[in-house]
Amino acid sequence: MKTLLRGSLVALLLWSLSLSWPAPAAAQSNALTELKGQLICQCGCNLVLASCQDMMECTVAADMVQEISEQLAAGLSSSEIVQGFVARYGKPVLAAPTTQGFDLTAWVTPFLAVVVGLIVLYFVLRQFVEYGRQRLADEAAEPRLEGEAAERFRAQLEKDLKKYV
Amino acid sequence: MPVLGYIVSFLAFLSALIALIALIYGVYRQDEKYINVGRRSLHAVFFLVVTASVILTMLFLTRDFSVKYVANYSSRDLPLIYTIAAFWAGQSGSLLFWELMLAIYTVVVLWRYHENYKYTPLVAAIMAGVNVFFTFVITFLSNPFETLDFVPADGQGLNPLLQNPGIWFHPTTQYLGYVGWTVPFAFAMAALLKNQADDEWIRKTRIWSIVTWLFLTGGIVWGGQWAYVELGWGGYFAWDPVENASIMPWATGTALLHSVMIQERKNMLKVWNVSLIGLTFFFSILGTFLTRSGVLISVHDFAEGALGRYFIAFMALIVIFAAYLIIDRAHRLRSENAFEGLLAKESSFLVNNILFLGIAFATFWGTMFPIISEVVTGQRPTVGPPFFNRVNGPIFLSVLLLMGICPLIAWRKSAMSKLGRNLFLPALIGTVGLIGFLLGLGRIGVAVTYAVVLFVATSILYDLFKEVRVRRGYHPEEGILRATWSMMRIRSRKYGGYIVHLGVILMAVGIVGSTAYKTENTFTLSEGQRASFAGFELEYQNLATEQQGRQTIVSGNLTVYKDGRLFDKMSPAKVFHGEEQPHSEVGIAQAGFDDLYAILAGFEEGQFATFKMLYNPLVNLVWLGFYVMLLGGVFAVGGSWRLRRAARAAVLQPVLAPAAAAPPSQGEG
Repeated sequence: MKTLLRGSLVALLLWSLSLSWPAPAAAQSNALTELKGQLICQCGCNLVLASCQDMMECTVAADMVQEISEQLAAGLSSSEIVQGFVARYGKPVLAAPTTQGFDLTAWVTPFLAVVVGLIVLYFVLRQFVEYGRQRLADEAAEPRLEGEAAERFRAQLEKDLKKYV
Repeated sequence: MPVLGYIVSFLAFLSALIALIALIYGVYRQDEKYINVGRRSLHAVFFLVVTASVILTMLFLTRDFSVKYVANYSSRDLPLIYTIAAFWAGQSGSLLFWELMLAIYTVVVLWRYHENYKYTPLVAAIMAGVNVFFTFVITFLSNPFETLDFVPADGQGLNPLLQNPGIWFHPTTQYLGYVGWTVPFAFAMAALLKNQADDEWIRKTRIWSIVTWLFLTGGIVWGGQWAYVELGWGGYFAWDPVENASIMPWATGTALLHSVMIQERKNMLKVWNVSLIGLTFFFSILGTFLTRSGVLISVHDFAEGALGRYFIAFMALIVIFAAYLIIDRAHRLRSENAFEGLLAKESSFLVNNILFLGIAFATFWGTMFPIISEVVTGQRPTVGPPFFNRVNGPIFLSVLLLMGICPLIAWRKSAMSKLGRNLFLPALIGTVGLIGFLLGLGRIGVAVTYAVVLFVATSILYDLFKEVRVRRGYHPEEGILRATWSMMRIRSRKYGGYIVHLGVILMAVGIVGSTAYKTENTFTLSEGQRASFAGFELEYQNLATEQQGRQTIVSGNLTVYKDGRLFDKMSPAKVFHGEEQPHSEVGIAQAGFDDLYAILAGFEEGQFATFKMLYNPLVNLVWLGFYVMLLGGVFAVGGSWRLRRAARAAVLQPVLAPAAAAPPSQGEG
């Protein structure tokens, strides 16, 4: 059994190591891909540039992507390019809220809600466990079956297990 | 005929109103006479709504363009299959379709629980209330039988994007998934109204809830599959407001399916469960509202007119009604919530609940944030895929992780040391996988997700292995396969759930793979010229032009080779509709779980064609995962049905068929 497990783990490791998809693109192309996912196409589709370009054959998206490519080639950083688009089209060109001012609440609130939910749950569960302990203590105080009666129940339990498991 | 349609829809509204009043009065006075009036009126609603639906279908089939809705959504050359489906292609028709589903569900509830449930009149009254709202909407606000002042020679035709087999699968299942939550909601509220604190409403609606959840899941996935093959909707899931609207009831419904198990087993969490069904029903109406109100900008823009305020009023009514009942009856619903240990399956289900509520809330928050921000700051930011991926991604990953831990925790109480022993093998495999994926794939997010997927799969199989071993201890005569099947049949609900979980992890692999490793390139080729892309050789053959009714279809024929051998042929096309902007039909060559995806971006007849090529790795696992989930759901429902039948037979024939009696906890994990 242990040999089988060891063999399986080695096979798994080799398999996961051998996985590969088409080679990662060059650095500039990565920056371009990221920016295409961060900016909204201005054709009115309300999709990010990547989706609009993939799915709409949109000339507006094509022009925006072309402009981004040229700016990257000219040595502008991603944030400078984004700032340029925001200056021209306003904040709605960004596909997600910023992390400043009121926009920050968009990011923080869902995680805060989950964390608060989990904390509340922890205290509620502790209370449930406390009730459970009290109930167990009460039950322990009750007289227990012994001798033939207990044996009869044990036999019935075995019979049921055989039938239903 | 349109006038008849008007009259019938008005009569349906009137009947629903009579049903509501008669049922409330009948229940209040405990007068069977009025209750029967209510029942018959609801049957009349069913008959009238079916008649209205038949009339609308006939108007489409006879091409009666004097009817505005028919003129807007069909044309003489529209194929029969889409002419019938045009029924639910627009706002008025789809609201009539909503009401049709509700009317069918209502009479099924009346027939199914006519004699064997004492609160059926109250359930019927609540469902009558929902019927009143939707018959009001289709009669007075968005009537599909509205006529034009003139009769156009031809209709405007159906939007080419909607001319896809998906129109038969996605809207129908999506609506069944929304409408279906009305039934458990009505049962829960009826139980509250009667101060009934037990879990009877859950047992009565267990199968309804699972089937509704499956429909909703199917609606979401089939919608994704449709959006994937039609350009213009941003791929299979773009976190668009209309798409988000379906995630919210799905997430709360999923939480409900898990937490009701605790009430069934331990008679706990009564307030929580009625709150969850209230929230799920609210979200299903909100989903319809967001799709139909036009309050948010969406690529799936189906909104016309001003239905918004009526939907808001109805949703407010639902919230007030449900919240009042829950608060007012809270003292009766209070149960002796007792857990034997903090580390128990029950606790993991509750953590699951918090996470699913987190997903519903994050989706709701992100969808509504543009409006909230506009009110507060005067600016309307865009909240798109980067936000939802970054916020919901980690929560979904936590759900996946929990799916791996939960099977290894015992009900009631688990010792940490035993959990550690149970976790050892799945954790070891997950860790080895993580190292391999990190070194092999090199992307942390992908590696972590795939390692968690391995962990979950191992944990599920390990749990099955342990139970089969126990069974073989009691039944040594059974082989491994027979013992596995017997175990799965006996605990069909648990293993149905596990199959669903396996479907979920397949989907996760597909979503992450197709998102992270998608590649694209554009090629301009002359006839006979070849290009290499993603390990394939593409050869452009020629252009083909075909006339179909008013449409001119220009296809670019591509032959795909792999390792020098013919692999497939693709014909991405551009479809021209007179003066309108042409739309694209993509070409897809399936390569195992991956797709080679081609778009004809441009062409010059006899000279060259430009193809945009995409390679979507593992995308077919998304669809496969759904079918596995469907299989799991059907397995669980089948088991529940079988056990219920067996239990009923045991009650009716305790002497004749004692062996058929299975204890209620059997098959519930």
